[in-house]
Amino acid sequence: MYNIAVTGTGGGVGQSILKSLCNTDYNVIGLDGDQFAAGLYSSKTSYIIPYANNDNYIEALLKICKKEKISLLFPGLDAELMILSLNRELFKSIGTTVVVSDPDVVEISDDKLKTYSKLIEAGVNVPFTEKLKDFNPSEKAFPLIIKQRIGGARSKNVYLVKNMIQWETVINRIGNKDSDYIVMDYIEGDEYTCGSINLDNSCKGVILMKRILRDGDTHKCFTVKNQIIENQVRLILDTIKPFGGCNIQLRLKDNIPYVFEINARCSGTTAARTLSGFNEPKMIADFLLKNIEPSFQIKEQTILRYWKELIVENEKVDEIKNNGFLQNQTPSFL
Amino acid sequence: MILFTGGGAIANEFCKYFDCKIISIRNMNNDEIESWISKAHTIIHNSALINSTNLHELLSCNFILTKNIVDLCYKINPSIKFINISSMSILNQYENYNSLSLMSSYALSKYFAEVYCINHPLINSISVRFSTIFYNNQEKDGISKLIFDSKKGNEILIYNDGSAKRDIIPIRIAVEYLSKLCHTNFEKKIINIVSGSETSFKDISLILKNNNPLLKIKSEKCTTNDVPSTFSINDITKLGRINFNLESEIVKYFNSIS
Repeated sequence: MYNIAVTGTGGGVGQSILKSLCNTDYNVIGLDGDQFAAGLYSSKTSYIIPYANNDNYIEALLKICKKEKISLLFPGLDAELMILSLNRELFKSIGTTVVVSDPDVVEISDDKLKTYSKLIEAGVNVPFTEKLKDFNPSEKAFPLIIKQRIGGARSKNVYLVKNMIQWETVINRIGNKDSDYIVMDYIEGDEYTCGSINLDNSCKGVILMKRILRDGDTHKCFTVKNQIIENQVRLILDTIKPFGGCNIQLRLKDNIPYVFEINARCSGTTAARTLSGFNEPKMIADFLLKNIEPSFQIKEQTILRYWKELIVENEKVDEIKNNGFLQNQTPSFL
Repeated sequence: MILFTGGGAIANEFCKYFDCKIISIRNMNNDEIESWISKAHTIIHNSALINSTNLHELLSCNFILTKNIVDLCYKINPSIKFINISSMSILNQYENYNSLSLMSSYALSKYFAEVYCINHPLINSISVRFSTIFYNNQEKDGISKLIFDSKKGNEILIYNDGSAKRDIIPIRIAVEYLSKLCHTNFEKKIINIVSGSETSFKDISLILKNNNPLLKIKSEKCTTNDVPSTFSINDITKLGRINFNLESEIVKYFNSIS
């Protein structure tokens, strides 16, 4: 049995990967920096790890991967992507493949100005994007989106600005950190999140979901088929050449897709995609570990998301807090 | 264009694998220097005087020259990436700056250059310090000399039974890190490029003995200066660590000597 580790199991992406690998023949090890991460109590084995900005992060992960004979490591947090990408070879030398793209792909995805330039270069439709500090708005430029240039998740620090008064309010709130922000045209239209698997330098499959957001997370989603969107997504993937999962977000206006974000990783919607017949983590694992070419049958359906409770015995919380790991748990679907 | 300000082993090795241009900045006037700066996106300032004990000469070549180039970069091309090749000789055992009174004249000149660079308003300036570089050249470093002598059947001389330890990094790996640095936005102003593991001269002599069982090893007692040999690997991890096996590198060089 192959062992697969997943980081960030307290968050939506990590938990989505866990859910997708549950009920497969892979043994999943859950990792997180927080003892209260739900995913730690839903994997057979789990470990507390340092956060990605900690100097010991890579060493700690290498130690766990070596001890648990991890074949694949799926990152679940954006903050981990670059440091893992830069150190992929270290993991390779102990037999662990990190499912992460090249550093330049991670950088393009993380930096919205670089995303914009790269996509413009490739002939992709993108909302006009500029550095906030270089932008002078006129009344007719609104509505606009102001958001962090680098990183950002779940609509944190994202502002929809509809007029000059709102503009001034947001600019005052941002203060002297204006060089950390970009301004982007707001596109009216349905929003789509598009998953993909990319192996051997080619896109092996795409799934499209129209979605309704709540607090920046996908709240309701609808698996759809749309050749115009799929062609645009494939054009992007052919241009940036990611490795593993890659998530593309866009809005459709007048039947033209406008791409505004790329995440070079699996997504919080990965589990919903799995339920629609497109299991990104399993297809990636099957290809990399068993040489099985990805195949899928996408079902057009509606997926509604809801909160669910997980009961954890206090002894288990104490155990992982004191020992740093938990073993012999019964894996449970979150 | 990546521009080296001086020749030398690092620049020459870098040029074997990556696209760059080597100039000799020490003999140029400011107009010429400005012209080169305007053409480059990255400057690796490796021009330095090593073989001197004259403080005046060392300060002039290693500090004043560096100051001039950094100032010109700021004037001509303030977004340029400026990589100053500094030196571990300015550090004590704990990876902190050594006391100035304990620094050699060379170390002092490199110290002033580094402090000037890291405090300069030039945004993309970074100082790089390499641990002990294994140059694959018997004329450049003691490790290569030991390997060369052992291959030639000469007796090799180690001190205090080879107890002294070094953090050794092959030149090929050093320039690979340098290339990564040229293409990455590194968040710190100083980076230590190291292997992260200690190797004693005794370890090296045993590797050589394995490759030449007839090798004669002579040890002499000697008082030596402490050289830092344990370094944090945090900087290279942030850059992306490169795996290598020192024993393989030593054997490779041993076998390459005819």
